[in-house]
Amino acid sequence: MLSDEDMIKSIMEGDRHAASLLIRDTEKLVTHIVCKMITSPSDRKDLMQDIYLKTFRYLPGFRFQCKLSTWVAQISYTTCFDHLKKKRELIDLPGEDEDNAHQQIREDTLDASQQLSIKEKSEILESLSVTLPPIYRTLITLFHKDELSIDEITSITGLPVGTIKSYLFRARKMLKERLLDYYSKEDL
Amino acid sequence: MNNEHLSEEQLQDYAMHPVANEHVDHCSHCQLQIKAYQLLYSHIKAQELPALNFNTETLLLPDRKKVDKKESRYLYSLTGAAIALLALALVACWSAFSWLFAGISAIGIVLGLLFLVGLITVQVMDFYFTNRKQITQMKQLTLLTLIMACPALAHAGTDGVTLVQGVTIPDVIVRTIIVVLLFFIISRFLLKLLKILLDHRLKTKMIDMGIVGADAEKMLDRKTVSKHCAVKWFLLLMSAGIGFVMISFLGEGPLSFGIFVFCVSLGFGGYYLYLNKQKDIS
Repeated sequence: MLSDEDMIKSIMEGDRHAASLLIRDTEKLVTHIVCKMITSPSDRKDLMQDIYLKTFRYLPGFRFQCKLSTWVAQISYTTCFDHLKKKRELIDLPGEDEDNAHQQIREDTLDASQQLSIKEKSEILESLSVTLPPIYRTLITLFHKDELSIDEITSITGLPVGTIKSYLFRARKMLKERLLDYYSKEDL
Repeated sequence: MNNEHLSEEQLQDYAMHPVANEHVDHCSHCQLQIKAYQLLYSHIKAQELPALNFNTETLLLPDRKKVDKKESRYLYSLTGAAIALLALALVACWSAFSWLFAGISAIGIVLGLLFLVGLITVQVMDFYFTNRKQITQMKQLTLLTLIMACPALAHAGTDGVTLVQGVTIPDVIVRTIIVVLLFFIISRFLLKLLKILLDHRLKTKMIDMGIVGADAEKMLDRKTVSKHCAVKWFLLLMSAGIGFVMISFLGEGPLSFGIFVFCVSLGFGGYYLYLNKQKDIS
């Protein structure tokens, strides 16, 4: 396993293997960010290309202030954010006072739903989070799925710790309410 | 027992890191909320990596070996075609060439022919490698060569060029001018060839490294004209001219090729010293 320093050195010397290793190491995280922030498949392709081209271009300027993967994720987030801003798809983030009334649900329904397959759970979450603001979707995935710390997410997104915590709180709450609604309807 | 329900924030934390809580143990409402959060977390964990309809690695790092092989094949066929074309041109225009090089040793003619091979090869390769803008530039050079060659061919076999008032430029001067200009154009083509090949290598490297945008434009900037260009051509043409003068004094033969190459190399040496001096000054 190459260290970040060795990997950068090899890439700068024109080592293709090191370049593909960097792509493979960071692809999962970058895909998560891109897919959570961007919905159009063609835009996703362009942005993935753009992100890695930027990564290779700015690699000589990497100052080792964070992990290389965090730095690549930071480029991914900024690139996607700029894309959304350009396309004016950055919708206003909802406040905390969202309607939280939901149907009554039986506890055993939730217990039963724990037994769903990974694919089913993934599909349900996708349908629930589709209308969530892109930033919320990304933060939820980075924190809960990729298990990044709040500090790492701060490095990636450039958002203050308080804002990230607040966004995460709101996103979880919204998703929980949608989940309860979903299962109450299923239950009916 | 504490009858107050847990806050939303406490519920979220409890679902992530459950700790003993008397209220939660007895409150069905809070238990339901916590279960909902736990279910949500399990759904997030279960998220599958979205399937992309492309491979990032292949998209960014295309298989260079395949591309290189294809390009090499093209290069070989182009070189072969250029040589065949040259042989054909030689047979067709022998009388014109024989006039231009009349009295010049066989080595000189071979040298000229070699340059012509380069000329044609560069044109064909340029068509393949470069863009429309560069092709236009090459067309200009070809046109210039043709314009220059026309009067020379028209006067083939005569004793010189007769001007309006009966003043005649001697044949040897006309031929010298043509040959010097021919060398100038050929040298330009050779330099162009080197630039094309080096640019091609650079582009390949850049694609492999993923360098794009402003950096790539900067590296491949064709608009930047060196301020030392005029000095370079002055030294080269002057050294070539000195070479021809020396040949005319010392006589033609195998030695003339050596004299010419020696003089041109002195020109290059002078240019190198000039550049070093400029570097020291700056």
